[in-house]
This record gives sequence, structure tokens and C-alpha cells, in this order.
Amino acid sequence: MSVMEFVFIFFGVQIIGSSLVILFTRNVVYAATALLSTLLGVAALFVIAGSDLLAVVQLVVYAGGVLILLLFGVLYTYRAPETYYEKRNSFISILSVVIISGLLMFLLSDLAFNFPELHRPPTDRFGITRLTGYLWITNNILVFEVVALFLLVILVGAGWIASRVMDLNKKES
Amino acid sequence: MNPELPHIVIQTISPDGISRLALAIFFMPLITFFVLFFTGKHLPAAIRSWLAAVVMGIMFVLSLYIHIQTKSEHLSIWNWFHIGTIQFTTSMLISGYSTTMMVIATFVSFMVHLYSIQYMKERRNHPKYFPYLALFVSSMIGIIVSDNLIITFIFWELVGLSSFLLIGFWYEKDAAAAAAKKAFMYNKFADLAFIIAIMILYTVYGTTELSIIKAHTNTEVLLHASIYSLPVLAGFAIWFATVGKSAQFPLYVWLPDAMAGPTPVSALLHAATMVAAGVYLLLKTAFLLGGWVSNCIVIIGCITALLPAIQAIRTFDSKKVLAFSTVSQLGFMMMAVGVGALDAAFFHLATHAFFKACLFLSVGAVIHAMHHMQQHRFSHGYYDPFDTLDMRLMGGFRKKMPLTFVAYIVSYAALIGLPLFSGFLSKDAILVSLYQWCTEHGSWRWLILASALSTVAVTTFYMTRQLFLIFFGEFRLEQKDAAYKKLFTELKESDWLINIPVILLAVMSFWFFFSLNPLHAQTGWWMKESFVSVQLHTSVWFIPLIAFVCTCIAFLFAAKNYYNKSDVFEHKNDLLTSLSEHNYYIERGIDLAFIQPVMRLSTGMFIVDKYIDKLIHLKVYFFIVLSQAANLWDIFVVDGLVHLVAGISRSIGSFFRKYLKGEVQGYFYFTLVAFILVLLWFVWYQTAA
Amino acid sequence: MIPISYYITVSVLLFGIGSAIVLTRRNILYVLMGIELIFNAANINLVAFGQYDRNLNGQLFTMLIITIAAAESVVALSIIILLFKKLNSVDLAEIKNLKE
Repeated sequence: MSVMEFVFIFFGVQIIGSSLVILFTRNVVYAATALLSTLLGVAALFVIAGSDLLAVVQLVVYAGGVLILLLFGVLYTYRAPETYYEKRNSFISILSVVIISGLLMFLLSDLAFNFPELHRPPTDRFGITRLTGYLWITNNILVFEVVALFLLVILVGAGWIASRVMDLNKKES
Repeated sequence: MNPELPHIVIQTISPDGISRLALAIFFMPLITFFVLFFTGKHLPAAIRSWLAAVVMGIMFVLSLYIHIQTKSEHLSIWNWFHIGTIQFTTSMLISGYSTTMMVIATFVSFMVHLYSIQYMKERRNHPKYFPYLALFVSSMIGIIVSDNLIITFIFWELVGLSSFLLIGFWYEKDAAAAAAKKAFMYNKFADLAFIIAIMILYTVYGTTELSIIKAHTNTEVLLHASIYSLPVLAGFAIWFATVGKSAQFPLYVWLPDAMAGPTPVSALLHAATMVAAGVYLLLKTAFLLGGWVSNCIVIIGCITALLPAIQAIRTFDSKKVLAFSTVSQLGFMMMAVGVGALDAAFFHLATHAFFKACLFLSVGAVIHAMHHMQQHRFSHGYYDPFDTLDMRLMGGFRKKMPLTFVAYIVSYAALIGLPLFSGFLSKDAILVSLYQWCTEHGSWRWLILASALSTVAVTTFYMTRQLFLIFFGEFRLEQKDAAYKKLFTELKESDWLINIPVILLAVMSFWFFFSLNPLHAQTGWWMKESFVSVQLHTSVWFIPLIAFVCTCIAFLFAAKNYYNKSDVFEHKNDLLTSLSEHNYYIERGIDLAFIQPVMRLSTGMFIVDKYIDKLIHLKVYFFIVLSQAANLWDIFVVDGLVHLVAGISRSIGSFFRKYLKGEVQGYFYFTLVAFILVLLWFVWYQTAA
Repeated sequence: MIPISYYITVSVLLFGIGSAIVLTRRNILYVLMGIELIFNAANINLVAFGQYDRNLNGQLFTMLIITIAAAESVVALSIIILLFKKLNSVDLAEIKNLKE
């Protein structure tokens, strides 16, 4: 087992472990922290896979954006932990994990274990950033623009709906 | 038999002076008709009547002139119209027959016009009387001069139309309207035969010009031709047309009823001219009459002569007696045509025209007097109508109207065939030719001769009866209603306008106009002058003698029964009376044979039609049922399928819905399951491929 | 390098765990986290296969997904906040408006 494999396994365990924490913990804040850990692990995995840009994007957007947002939501709706005591069956959780993962694994096993030997194409020694940017502007420009527009629409719409609803709520109270 | 129409090129012959004059004679009454028809209402009655009478007078003079001037035949042919290359022509023939006939027709019509001026003065005189008469005279002249069968047919129909208009002139009387319709119907039925004859002749000869047909026909061949020979059939058809027009048995029944018209009309049309038109036509087309057709003509003519004469014995209507007499005499004329004695037939036609017209007009004078008395009573407020024609109510007019009486006696004598009168000559000619015919061929023909002789006797009987009933004895009307006694004693002779025609016609009934020898016509100047050839047979003296004896016996018999008899009012209810009154049930027979089947057929058709309607209803019901079924199909099957599909979706949806209680996670779960299934399919597809 | 089966294993497990979180937890915020985990599992897979593409399609797509996931979580959070204002709770058992 080479160093890379070891590193990979380390981060993989981190991911899985953190997600299991989310699965089983009763404290929302603990869960949020575990989510952070998971995201960090995924970012590391991105690096190992050779896309450094994506790792940074992941960290910035996910960990630095989505997570913060989520945290905000958590704190906004925070109640005493006692109220969240749910009689949950852990067995069901494990079972569902096993089933779903098992199924997917089964389906993808052929792909996974019979993957032809491919070599990574040579990349820039500074990473894939320049290449990615170039590709965005040339090959995939349409997608780029469409998605940008799409996002714009979403965000504007969401803000507008929120403001509307805020007005309604104000009228009620 | 020609399979195709023979193509005949007809040479046109333009009319010479005589023919042009004849054309003028034809057009004069026609113009009178148009003038009086359209302006008659605005002219006073006197001008109307005198204008017509004067025109007739001029026509008579002109036709007399033509008659004297004509020595030979004048034939004129014009082009009428053409269809493609087929030429139709009109023609006119001025010959012995036609000029004589024209003189007779114009003379009698002139007399009738003069008579009508006075006669119609006191009757309902619509302005159409003289126009109709003028139309009739014009059409009659047309028949006389025309030599083309189609033109003759046109005028034949016109004469029938004028007869219809004139018989039904007083159309307010139901009897008159019905009689006019009857006359027209019977004539029309017979005219069908005329059309068939024209068609046959056109097919065989390619033309309807009599001159050309005559030239192409071999009479000797026709005499012995078979029944299938077309020209013979054409001759038969022409004769059948005359059965209607000249009132032969069984189509004579319209003539007695036609007496519902004014008396001058009866005199002109139904005694002298129109009914004689049939005989005249047969004379012109005699060359077409083959062997069996002639026999047919003789037999029917014989029946026609005898049967109506017997009917006249029981008739009380004075004009009807004369009508039966006309039919009977027409039978005599037809018999003569049948045996081939065309000249004898024409002779009798001529003499009959004069004496029958005189008889009608004199009886009309009596009727006029009766009517005058009736009007006098009406104007004094006593409305008790009686039939002015009824002989039972007459009597004793001999003393009151002596001129009329004398004229009646003269023409009566001519009719029954007393020597010194014209009728004797013509009847004698017919009987002699009948005798000749019998001796030539023999067998059953003797019966015809016997029947003819008995007809002579019967004629004498009923005419004597009428003579005694009208002119002798007491005036019987005063026995019914005493008020008339005074009126009768004041009765005078008729107006001169009535008397002059009567007298003139009576004068024509003497012998000297026709033959210098009062007893025999063979040396008659009239015959010689009129005809190109005289075909009268050698004198057979005993036939006229037998006829004279029969006449005398009948006269005595009648005198015994009717001279000064007073019990004429009783109605004898025997077979003879019922047969006479119902025209031997001929009309009943026609009704049963023709009309009833048609009515039954139409009723049957109506019933059939009802069933057809039921069938159509059935079809409609079927379609209604079909549409209902289609509707049900639409509702249950077509819509049902749609509902089924929707229902399946709904049930699937509701099946799955109950597993999702509104939980978001549930939805996610299902999405996951679906995702895995899709993935499964993908993988399986890949491996399969 | 690292065989692809490693990546796939991690991705699948992460996917499974994320699905389990979504399916079994009652708190909306946990569900949101689970959804994020699922996204990340997909991203891992994409990037893993993308490292062999000269056109870097995998990486680009991953970038898109990250973007969209971010936007989506914004919308989701705003909905949650509004719901919280309405119901005063983030318990999924109480959000049954979709039930008929």
C-alpha cells in the first residue's frame, strides 16, 4: 500500500465516520460540525483525484458558504436538545445504509472492478485551474451562461418570495 | 313495309286566284273572331251580331262564286317548317267536294247568324257568342279546304273546342257545363285515333299530304289487304276518329246531351256542319279504306242508324229527338261510305244539312215562343220554371205559328224521305247503293239492308210523333197552369229575323235544288255540276217503293198513337223507356270498363303507397335505432376506454398515494427506489448489449 | 494510481449514509445535511472518473453541481425559516401539508 493509498483511506474513513456521526447524533450542532469534517474530507479526496481547483471551490463554497448558512439555520431554529429526543431505531438506519449501499455497489461493481487501465493525462504543474478556466470559456460556454442565468433567476426569485412572505407575516402580526 | 321513313321531296305549288279567294274566306271569320273576342265587350250587342252576320253573308257569296267558277281541282302547297332536312308542308285543295261543302257551311252559318241575332236577344247573351261562332266557322272552313292531315287535325281540334265553348255557353246551367265536358271528352278520345293515323301515314308515306298519299296508294290492293297492312290500319284509325266526331255508336252519347246549348248552335254544329266533318274526312281519305274496314263502317253505321232512332220514340225533349235523328242520319251517311257510294253519302250530307238545320231552327222558334211566355210569367212574379223544350207541354202551335209550321212540314217531309223533297233523293241514293252492295256480295249484308229500311220506318214514326205533339192538338201547358192560356192566345208569329232563315232553309229542302227529276237523282244537275264523276248506280225502282211503303205504314201508326192524344203525360215504365233514357247503358258500360278499373287502380296504388310509407318508416326506425346504438357505443365504449385509462392511472396513483402520508422523506424514498430501478435497467441493458 | 473502486466505494457509502439520514431523521436540518452528503457523494464519483478525461468534463460538471447545490440550499433554508415562523417547529412530522 502506497502512501497515496494510505492517505486516501485516511480521508475516506474521515468522511464515512463523520457522516455516521451525522446519522446517529442527537445534537444538531454536533451534526453540523460533523458535516464540516465530512466536507473537508471530500475536499482532500478531490486533491488526491487531481482536481485542486475543485477542492478549493468545495472548501470555499460548501464549507464556507453552505455550512455557514446551515449553521445559521440551526441556530435560528435551535431549541433545547431535550425536545429533540426521538425514539429512533438505529437498526433501521444501519439497515437502510447497508441496503442502499449494497445495492449500489452491486450495480456498480462491474464498472468498479473491471475498469480498464487508464492513465491520467498530463496536467499543468500548477494544477488544472488554467485549463478549467479555458474550457469554461470555450467548450462549455453555453452551459456556463445557462447555469449563470439559472442561478440568477433562482436567487432573485427566492429573495422576492421571501420578501413577499415577510410582508404577509407582518400583516398577520 | 319500309324500315325507314321514305324521303319525299314535295314540290310547292303557289295558290292561284281561286285558292287565294278560298284563303280569304278562311281568314274572314278568323279576323272576326279576334276582333269580336277582344272588343266585343265594348261594342253594343246589335253591332256585334250584325257585323258577324254580314261577314257570314259575304263569305257565302264568295264561296258561291268559287263554287261556280271551279271546274277542276286547285291544289296549293306551301312550305310550313322544317326540322333538319325533313320538310313539313301545308296544302289546300279546292275541288268539287270542298266548294260544295263550303257553300253549304257558309249558307247554313249565315242563316244561323241571322237567326241568332233575334234568338239571343232575349237570352243571356255574353259577348263571346259571336266570336265563338266565328271561330267555329273559321275552323270548319279550315277542315274543308285543308289537304294536309296535320292541318286538318288542328282544325278538327279547334272545331271540337268551339263546340265545347258553345255547348257550355250558358255555363251557369250545370247540365250545359257537363254536356260540354262530355262532348269534349268523347271527341278527344276519338282524336287519339286521328293522331295514330297521322303517325302511321307519316311512317309509311313520309308525308301527310293527302294528294301525295293518294298518288301512292293502290286502292284495289287495299280492298283485299290483310289486317296487318299499315295503310289499312291508318284508314281504320281515321274512321275511329270520326266515330267520335260524327257520333257513331258507341260514342254518340254526347250529341243528345249537347242540346243543352243554344238552338242556333245545335242547328249549325250538331246538325249541319261539325258532325258532318267526320263524313267529309272519310270521303277525302276513302282510298285508304280496305276491305274489312269498310265492313266495319257499314255495320257500325247500321247500328248507329237504328238504335238512336228507337231511343227517339220515347224522348220528350224536342231537341233531343232531333239529335237522335241526326245521329241516325249520320249512320246512313256512314253506311253509304262503307259500301263505297261516296257520292251518295255526300249527297245525303248536303241535303241533311239543310233540312236538319231547318228542323232545328223551326223547333227553336217554338221553344223561343215558349221561353217568351215563361219570361212573361217570371216578370210578373210567378216563378214556376218548366222545361221549355218539353214536348209534352207544347201542342197546337200549328194555328199560332203557321209559317213555322209550314217550314217544319217541309223539312219533316224531306227527313222522312217523301218524294218531291231533297231527302227522298239522297236517301234513295243510299238505299240503292246498299242494295247494289248486297247483290254484289250477298250473305249477311241483306240484314243491313233490312235494318236500314226499318230505320226509315222508325224515323218516320218518331218524327211524326214530334210533329203531332208540337203542332197539333191542344196546348197542354195551359192544362198544367191556367195562366198560360191567355198568353198562348196572344202568341204571334216569330220575328222576321227568325222566320227568314227558317223559310230559306225549308226552301232548300225541296227537290229542285238538287235534281230536276223529283224522283231520281241520277240526272240531277247538282250532282253533275258538283262532281267530276258521277258514280251513282243504275236505277233500282223497287227499293224506293219499299221505303215509301214503310214510311206510310209508320206514319199511319204514329198518327193513330199521337194525333190528338191527351194522355201523353203518363210515363211508360217499360224496358224501351229505360234503355232509351240511359242511352242503352253505354255510359254505364264505359264507366265500368274504363273508369272503374282506373279508380280501383288508383285506390290500390294509394294503399301500396301507404305500405311503401310503412317501409320507409321502418327504414327510419332502423336508422334511429342505429344512431341510438352508436350513441350508447360512444358513451360506454369510447368514453369508457378513456375513463378506463384515467381510472387505471388514478388507481395506480391512489395505490401509491396511501404509502405517502405527506412526509417528505417518503417522497425521497420513492425517488431513490425509482433511481435504483433505473440504474438496474441501465446495467442490465449494458450487459445484455 | 488509486484504483477507481476505492472512489466508488467511498462514494457509494457516502450516498447510502446520506440517504439514510434523509430517510430516518425527523429534523429538517438533518435532512438538509443528508442532502448535502448525497451531493458530495456524486461529486466524488464525478471527479474520480473525471481525472481520466482530457476535456475535464467531470470536473466541470462537478463545479456546476457545487454551484447549484449552494443555490438550492439557500432556497431550502429560506423555506425552512418561513416554515419555522409558521409552525414554530422544524419537526418533519408536523409538516404534512402535502397529505390529502
